[in-house]
Amino acid sequence: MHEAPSTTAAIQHPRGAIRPPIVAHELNEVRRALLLKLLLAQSCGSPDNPARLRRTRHKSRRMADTAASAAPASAGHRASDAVSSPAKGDLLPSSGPSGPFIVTQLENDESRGPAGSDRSSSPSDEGDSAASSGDEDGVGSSRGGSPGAGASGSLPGGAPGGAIVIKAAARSGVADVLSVALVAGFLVPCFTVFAPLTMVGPLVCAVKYGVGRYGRCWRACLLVRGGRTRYRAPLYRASVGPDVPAPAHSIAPFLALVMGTFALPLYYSAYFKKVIWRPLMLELTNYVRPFKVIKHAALPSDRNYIVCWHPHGRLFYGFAVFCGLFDVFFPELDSREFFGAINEPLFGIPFLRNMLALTGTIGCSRKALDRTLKVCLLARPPARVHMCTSAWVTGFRLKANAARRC
Amino acid sequence: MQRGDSVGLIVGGIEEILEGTFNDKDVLYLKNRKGFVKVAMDQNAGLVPVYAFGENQLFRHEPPFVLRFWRWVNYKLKIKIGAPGPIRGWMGSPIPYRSELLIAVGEPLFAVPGESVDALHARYVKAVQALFEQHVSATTRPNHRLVIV
Repeated sequence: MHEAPSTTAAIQHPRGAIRPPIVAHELNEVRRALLLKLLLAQSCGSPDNPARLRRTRHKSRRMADTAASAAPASAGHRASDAVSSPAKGDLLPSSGPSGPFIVTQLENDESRGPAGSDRSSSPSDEGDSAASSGDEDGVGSSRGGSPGAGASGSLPGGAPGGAIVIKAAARSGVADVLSVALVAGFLVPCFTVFAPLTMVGPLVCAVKYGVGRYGRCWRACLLVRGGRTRYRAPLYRASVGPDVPAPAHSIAPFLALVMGTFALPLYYSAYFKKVIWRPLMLELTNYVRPFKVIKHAALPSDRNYIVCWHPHGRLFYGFAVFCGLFDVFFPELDSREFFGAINEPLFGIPFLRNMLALTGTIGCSRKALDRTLKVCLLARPPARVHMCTSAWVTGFRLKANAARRC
Repeated sequence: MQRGDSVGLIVGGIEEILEGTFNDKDVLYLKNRKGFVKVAMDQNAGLVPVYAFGENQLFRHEPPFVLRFWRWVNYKLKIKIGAPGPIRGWMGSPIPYRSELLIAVGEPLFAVPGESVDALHARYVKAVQALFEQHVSATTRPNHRLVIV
């Protein structure tokens, strides 16, 4: 087709072989084809290895996952050992070798199926456990019904025998000290110390300096021209006494700050929670040691769940960590979100409510639960509206107004 | 696929805080808690029992008079805020102890069609007890008892 250029512009290779010339407009296609080939070879492997195909699907799904951000670096290496032990990767695709969690199989401490045999016979693993999950749950859990496509397909009814233990890897030395300092000096005080202080501070200021533009000098203002006067120092001193500072220290900045916290949204996207909040949650798992999660069953992603936490404890420390890292422990629920439901009056406390919203909590009223379980797609605001108003999240009363505005 | 998210719930709530924490037992306020079962049945959601061993040991135990005071605030004044203070952990500060936390996640329970709320609730309580019995020996406090009120 390109006779003329090929004859004229043929490149003489130094070693003597004549390379066919590549015309400029063909170059892009060649590049694209090469790139595609490279990508396919890296991501999918050979098409006759479905196990590897499945693994790469997991991998592409959690591209936004920071906990696994260390994992994609080693993902290429894992693809090679996937052939030797595909069952291990299939059990817990996201929290397998990635990040600070060690995943092990609980030894067979009770009368369940033999764990060792299931692990060794990995190709027939899926069929076996799918069949045995039916008789394992005598209590009437109807989960083995439809293991959905993709992620949940490789998780039929949970661990094949026994349970999975996900243990947080303990840090040591300087890393541990730093992590403890972060947790004890900042993260936990955010919930327990700082929020009450932000409530007490404005109250103290209000009592001491008064509320409003002129603080406690309103009597002085009334004295002169019916309250429409400027602030007069002698009159103010006469009205409140000598030791009270000037009303420039009024409560107004505090009030603005506190009201500002109420304007912030109570919903943060899953991406935000994963990218920004998760590293801090991982510090919390390092703080309590050992931090272990024993998982008896996978949760197929075609159902909703109410995860019931016992006991309450003094503070909901473990619950907050569990909520923040739920999709690490339950990677089969991907593309779903998980909200912790806590006492509603806590959302009336100015700074605490923002911290709680960051951990992904909602009020525990019947309405909020129903909304989250059922119509969450409607309750979840579109991305554009996130920073506009919190009315979308806090309730539907203002929904119409918000819709008109945005 | 029907879209919906999952919800985590501390079933005990403020009543469970006000029951107090103890060295030798965990007290669960569960017998009169049936709302979460109703929500699960309405929404056809699975109930996943989760037991956190050591959650009660992260902070010091409150003396009875403090709990009595907060009970009065919660029930008489109707300020449902639980027991916000004092929370005493490490050296009396509200920083938790670095003790063990073992979280056991059970299998999800789904409502069988035609099942009553009480039946599912009974099944759930039994599942929680089984979860406790199964894992309490593996914790650092194997003699812990479970009291459901």
